[in-house]
Amino acid sequence: MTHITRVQKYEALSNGQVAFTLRVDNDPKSDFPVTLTVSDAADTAIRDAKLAAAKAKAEALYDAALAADSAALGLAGQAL
Amino acid sequence: MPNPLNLTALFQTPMYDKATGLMSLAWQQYILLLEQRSGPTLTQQGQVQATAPIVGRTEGIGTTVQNISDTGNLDSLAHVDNTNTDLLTDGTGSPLTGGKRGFQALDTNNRLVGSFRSNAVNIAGTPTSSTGLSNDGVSHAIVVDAQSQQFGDGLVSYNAGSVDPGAFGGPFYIYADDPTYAGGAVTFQFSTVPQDQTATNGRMLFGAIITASGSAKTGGGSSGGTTPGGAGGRGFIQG
Repeated sequence: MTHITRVQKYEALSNGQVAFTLRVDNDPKSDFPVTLTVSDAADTAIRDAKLAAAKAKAEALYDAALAADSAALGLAGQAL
Repeated sequence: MPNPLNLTALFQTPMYDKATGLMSLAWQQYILLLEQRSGPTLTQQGQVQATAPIVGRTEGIGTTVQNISDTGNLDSLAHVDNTNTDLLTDGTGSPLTGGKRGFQALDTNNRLVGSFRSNAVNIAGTPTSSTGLSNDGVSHAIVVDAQSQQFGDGLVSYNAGSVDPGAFGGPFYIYADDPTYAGGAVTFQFSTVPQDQTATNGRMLFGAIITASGSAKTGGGSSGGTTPGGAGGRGFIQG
């Protein structure tokens, strides 16, 4: 499934780390916090690569959560 | 309300009628007016009658001030119409605010009413899952699973997330600050310094993990996974 995932929050922590919160399809339940070292966050290529990996993880978890919700409702596989 | 009597005209009027030798009509009317006003409001001793009403009210001043002490203070909080302390002006040392906080946070034995009234760094909490941290041995990223911790007052659930220390090794201590036990998406932090786990009162522990290139590892949860002593939470017997 195609998703739109955005950085919902950016936070420079007092310990020097940098935290991002990714949100999938504008659904707050999907919020996925990612914390990087300040040096990784400062290097655009490294940061983008790590955020891309986190994005994939966040979207996979979101898909799994949606599938679980559908299964719980007994709708899995049903045509609507 | 200003006194409407026009005394200028009265003072130019003789006090007695020469024809009858009695008080003049104008002065009689003035005396009557004074009596009508002072009779219901003043006693023979010149004190204010308890039944004297205040303008715009009917209950009598005795009722109006019955809960005011002789020094002008309210005699009891039982006589406050709205006892919500938020509507009362607090004093030095905030006794009203402090009292409200104490009432909410303490039970009848003066103990905290529940674990959520204590700072997270002081209370026991057990992860409900066996492990909560993982690393695939390829990326430096440590995945924090969605997980819950059991406290005396109930379960608190946290969203999944990740931290990336930028290298393999460790142990990496994973924690987040959640002083109100709100759960949800929290900002995970990592450190290799043990005391960082208790450096803030609202700090929740998600355990530790030792990572290695080329080898998948786990940590956190109630067992610590492949990381010895790497369980999350605090104050329970590690499984």
